[in-house]
Amino acid sequence: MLRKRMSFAYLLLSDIKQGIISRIWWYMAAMPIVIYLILMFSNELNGMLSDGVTRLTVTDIFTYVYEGVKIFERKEDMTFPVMFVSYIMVPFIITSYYPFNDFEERGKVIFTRTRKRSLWWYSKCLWNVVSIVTYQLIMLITAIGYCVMGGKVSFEPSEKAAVHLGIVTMDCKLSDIFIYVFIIPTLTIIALSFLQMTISVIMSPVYGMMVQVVMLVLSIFVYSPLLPHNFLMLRRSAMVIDNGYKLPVVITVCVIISVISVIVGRNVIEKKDIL
Amino acid sequence: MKRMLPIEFRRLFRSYSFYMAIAIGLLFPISYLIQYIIPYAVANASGSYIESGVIPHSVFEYPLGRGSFHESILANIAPLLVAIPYGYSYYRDKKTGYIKNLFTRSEKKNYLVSKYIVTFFSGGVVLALPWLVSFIGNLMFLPYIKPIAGSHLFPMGGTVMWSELFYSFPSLYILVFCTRCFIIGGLLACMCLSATYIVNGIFLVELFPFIFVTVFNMLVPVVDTKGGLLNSTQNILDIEISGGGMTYLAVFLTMAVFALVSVIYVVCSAREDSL
Repeated sequence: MLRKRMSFAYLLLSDIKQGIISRIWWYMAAMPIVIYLILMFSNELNGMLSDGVTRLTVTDIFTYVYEGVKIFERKEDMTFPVMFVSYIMVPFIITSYYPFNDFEERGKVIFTRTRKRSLWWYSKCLWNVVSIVTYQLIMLITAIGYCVMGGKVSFEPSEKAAVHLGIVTMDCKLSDIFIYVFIIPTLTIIALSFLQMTISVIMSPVYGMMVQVVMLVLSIFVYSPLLPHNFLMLRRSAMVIDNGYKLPVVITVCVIISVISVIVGRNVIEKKDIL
Repeated sequence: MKRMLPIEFRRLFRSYSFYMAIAIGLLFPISYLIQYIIPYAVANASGSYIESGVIPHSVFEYPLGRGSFHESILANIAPLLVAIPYGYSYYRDKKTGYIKNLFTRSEKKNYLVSKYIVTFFSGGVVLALPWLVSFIGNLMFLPYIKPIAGSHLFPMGGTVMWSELFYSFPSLYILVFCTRCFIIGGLLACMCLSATYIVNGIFLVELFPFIFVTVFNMLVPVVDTKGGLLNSTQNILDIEISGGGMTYLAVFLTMAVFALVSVIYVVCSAREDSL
C-alpha cells in the first residue's frame, strides 16, 4: 500500500498539485508582463501610423515578445534589450523554486518511501515540462484574451505589424510561424529549465539562475547554437537571416541539453547525502 | 556594537560563499584581460607605436567590457552575486534560533546594525572589486595616458555626467565609479534582509534582489518616459555612460529606491519580538 502510494504517478500528481495548482498565482503573476508588452507594442505601432488603429493578432504579440536583437556587431549599434531579458527570466524564476524547496522540505520523507530516488527526479523533470507548458499556455490565453477584447482573434500576422517588425512576413507559411513563434521558444525554455534544475540540485538555485543569466547575456553578444538562448530571438531565426537557426538544429541542441541534464541530475540525486 | 561587528565580520570572512562570489565576479575582468588586453600589449611590446606616431591604447580607453559582453554579464548577474556572500545570513539566524542566543547576550540594536553593515560591505565588495581589479590589471599592460577630450577614443562623451572628472582626473573617476558600484552592491545585498520578512525560503531570500531588479528594470521605461529620473541597473553599472539619461538625479533616485527596500528591514526588525 505504501509502495503504491509513492509510485511515480503519485509523485507526479503530487508535484503538479503542489508545484503548479497550489502556486498558480506565480504563473498568473506573469500575465501583467505580457499585458504590459502588448500595450507597449500596440502603442509603438499605432503611435507611428496615422491610418487608424491596428489590432494586434496573437502572432504579432508573440513575435514582438520573442523579437530579441540582431546578431551583435558593435556595442555602439546595440541597445541592450532589458525588456527581453526580463521577460525571458520569468519562467526560469517560476520553475527554479519548487524542486529545490521540495527537496529541502519533503525530500527526506519521500526518499525513504520510494524504491528509487530517481523516481523523484523523473517526476520533477516531467513537472518541469508541464510547468513550462502551463506558463506558455497562460501567456497564450492572455494574448487571446486581448485579441478577444479587440474583437478579432487571429493567428495570422497583421500586415502593419509584420512590416514594422520585419520578422514574420505575409508570405510566411502558418506552419513555419507556428514552429518558430510558439514551438521553438517552448522547447528551448524546457531544455534550459532542465539545465537550471540540474545545477540547482548540484549547487544551489542561485547558481542555476546565474548560469541562465550569463548564458542569456552571452547569447545576445555571441550567435552560436551552443548558446540556446539564441533560439529565443526571432531576429536570429532562418525566417529573417540566411544563416539563422532552424528547427532540426534547435531540436538537436535541446534534446542533448535535456538528456545530459536529466542523466547528470539523476546521478547526483542518487548519491546525494540527504541527511 | 564593538563586540558584535567583529563577530559578524568574522562570520563573513569564514564563509566560503563570500570568496566564491568574489571569484565569480573576478572571472570577468580576468577573462577580459586575457582575451583583449594582454594580446594587444604583447603585439605592441616593441613600442612600434613610438615610431609610427600613433597614440597607443590607454588604460582608460578599455575599462572592463568596453565593446564586449563581460560588463553586460556582470551588470546582469550583480543582483544574484551580491546576495550570495551574506544575504541569507539573517534569514538563517532567525530560522535556526541563533538570533535568540545573540539577543539574550547583547542589545538587539547592536546585532541588527552590525548585520546591516556587514551585509552592505559584502555586497559592495563583491560588486566593486571586479572593476578595481580590471583597472589594476589594465595598468599592468597598458600605458597611463590621460584621456583626450574630443579624440573619440575614450568611452565618454564630453557632455555626459562626470565627463569633466573623467578627462581631468581619470583615476579619481575610476575610484568614484567603484564607489558607486560599492554602494549599489551594498544596497542590493541589504534587500535580502528585508526579504526575510516578505518571502519564505532561503532561495527566495537570495533571489529577491534579482526579482526586484528585474521588475524595476521593466518599470523604468514606464515610470520615467522622458528619461533622467530613474535608470536601470544595466546603465548604472555601465562605465561607458554615453548618451543621455544618466543624470545625478537618476543615480540618486535609483539608489534611493533600492535603499527604501531596506526600510522594511528596519521597521519590521524593530517591531518584532524575536524572543
